[in-house]
Amino acid sequence: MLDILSDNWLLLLVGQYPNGAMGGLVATVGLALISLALAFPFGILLALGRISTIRIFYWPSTAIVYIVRGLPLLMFIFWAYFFVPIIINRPVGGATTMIAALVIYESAYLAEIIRSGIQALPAGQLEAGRSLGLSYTQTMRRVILPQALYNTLPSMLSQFISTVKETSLGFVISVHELTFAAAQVNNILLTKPFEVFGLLALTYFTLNLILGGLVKLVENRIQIKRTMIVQVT
Amino acid sequence: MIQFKNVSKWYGDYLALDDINAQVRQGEVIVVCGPSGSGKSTLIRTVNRLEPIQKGEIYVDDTPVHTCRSIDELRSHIGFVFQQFNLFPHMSVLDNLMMAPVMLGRMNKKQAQESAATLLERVGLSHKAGAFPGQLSGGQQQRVAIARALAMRPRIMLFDEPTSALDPEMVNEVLLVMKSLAKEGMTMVCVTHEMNFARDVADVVWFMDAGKIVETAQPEQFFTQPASDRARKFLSDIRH
Amino acid sequence: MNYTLDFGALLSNGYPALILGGLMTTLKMTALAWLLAFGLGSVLAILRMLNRRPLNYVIALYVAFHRNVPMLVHILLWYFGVAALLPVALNDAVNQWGGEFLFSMIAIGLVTAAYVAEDLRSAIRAIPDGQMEASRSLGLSYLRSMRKVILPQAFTIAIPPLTNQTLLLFKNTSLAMAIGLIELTGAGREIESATFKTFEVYTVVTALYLAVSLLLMLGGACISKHRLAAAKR
Repeated sequence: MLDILSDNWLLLLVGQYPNGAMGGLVATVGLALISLALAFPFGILLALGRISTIRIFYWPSTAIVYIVRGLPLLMFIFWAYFFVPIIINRPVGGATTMIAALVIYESAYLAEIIRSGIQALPAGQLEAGRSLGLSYTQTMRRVILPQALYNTLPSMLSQFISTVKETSLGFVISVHELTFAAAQVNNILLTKPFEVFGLLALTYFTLNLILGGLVKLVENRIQIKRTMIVQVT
Repeated sequence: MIQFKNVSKWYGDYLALDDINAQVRQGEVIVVCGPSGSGKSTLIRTVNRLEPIQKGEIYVDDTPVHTCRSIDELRSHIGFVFQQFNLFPHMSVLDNLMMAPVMLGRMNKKQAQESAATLLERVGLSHKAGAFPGQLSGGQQQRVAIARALAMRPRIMLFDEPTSALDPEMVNEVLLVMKSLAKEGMTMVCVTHEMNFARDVADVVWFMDAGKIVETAQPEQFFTQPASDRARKFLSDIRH
Repeated sequence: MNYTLDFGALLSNGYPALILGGLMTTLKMTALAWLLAFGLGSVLAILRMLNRRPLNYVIALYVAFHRNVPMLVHILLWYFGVAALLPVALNDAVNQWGGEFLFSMIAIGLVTAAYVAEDLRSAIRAIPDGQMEASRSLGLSYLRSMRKVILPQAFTIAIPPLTNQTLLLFKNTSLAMAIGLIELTGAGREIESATFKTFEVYTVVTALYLAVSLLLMLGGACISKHRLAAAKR
């Protein structure tokens, strides 16, 4: 496996760049970052819709979340493959399709995380904000959301790890990410599939283990901050 | 019936029990009291080995608790009542009482059911036989917990702050059950803050502080003329 | 957008049979992978409770590997990698029987088992220590206490996350199309490339996925309600 790594590490890392689009591990992380970053504002909107008492906000956001929970990501990718060129009115590459599908998919999951973060805050927070005369939106923006987003940071980082894993589905629509690169290596070598795909698995394993460690660090720091706040009061 | 010989226990570096020597005779009612952190709960939990000890010996009826091989058998003869009741929430009151005697082969189902019915009547909760713990008040749950422990026909009953988690108006109904047990001659060791209970039924009071039994006295003597300064301070603290 | 909806085109050429066949394959794989996942997951959770250091280490490694590597990569590793390691005769026999189905099922089952083991572990840890203490104080052995007091309560707590795992398992079967298995998504793609009626065929596939997902979610909610009601009556 080590010799496969030393022979092909560039392909696995950046795909065919600079002779083509960015690929490999860099593309995987890049796709995940872009998708989650774009999904973030939508996630907040959906979360607010889910807790809203106003019907026209509640029902569509609940519907979206349930559809995302009930449909495989692969189907979302195929739908995006079909719809995005129609909406933008020109042909679209695999990466854009992938991002479009992931943005919708991830915003629903982020919405549920943010929603639980908001609902975990004591009711007194909203009451205090409103008692001071702040509107609902102002209280959300200045009091509730900052706390909820901070508290759910570990869960959202875990969702990033999930997104990294989900980019592997780009393989099915020939997006040049890590899994696709590994398949290319396999097509070159042909006689060592176990080593190639084993190496692929170990790469994801190492990457996500490191990311998981980061999540733990963030969790601990938040815990420490929380107990400090309690001690001050 | 219970003997502590040079018993010491550590939690890591922290000395929780410091060279305890004491004994409980059959039919005696012992009340263990003291400030929090004194080791009184730890002491009572060593009797049925919910807490292990690192030094010394403990004997229950000549059986060495600290080295006993069939601890389950020993525990089935000792009744333990917890501060948090610890009833099994997924079983009805009747099942809570019947489960252990039947599972351990002490009684068949019919005998267990009759025994349970008698015990429930004794603690005043016959009408709650089919109820689930979640439907009962704290005082009711604790009375069921006492009945559950009695269902195994123990020779000794241990109480770990049985009324500390109860709302004030429910404390009395539990104490009444405990008093009637004492009057029938059950050997009891109670960790409690209820001083009136101690005065009414205890034979001996053990006052503990910092892991040691500082004072052993008859209740009346202890409450009116405590011998040690620490006991005096403790009593004046709880009277406020 | 020059597109006239034509669901009728889907009713010819044996397409309905293809879709239903795909659905049956999906459901069969879900069922078999579920048995593997929940069986192995329970065994792992119980072994974890024995508290032997080396065993815990091995199980933790299993869980980490299967959770950090994407499901698709597991499928590729089994289908291409492990298959290549098998002796030729066995490999041929497996391929005759249906290697795509078998290896996807194994991969999906093993990964889900890791999640199930973790969910069961948290459920058991959620039971207060006092329950075990009370049971042991009555004289019941460790195993008996587990069977009669701890595990029944843990199961009730575990139903929502386990329902979620079942749902995810069902959705993950769609990944098998990447190695050519004609399950529901795969069937949809086949019909799409034959008829070009993308919207119609995707709608049918989506509706089927959502219908089964809804049933699974309702089923889980029902079981959960029933057990909670039984404990309160």
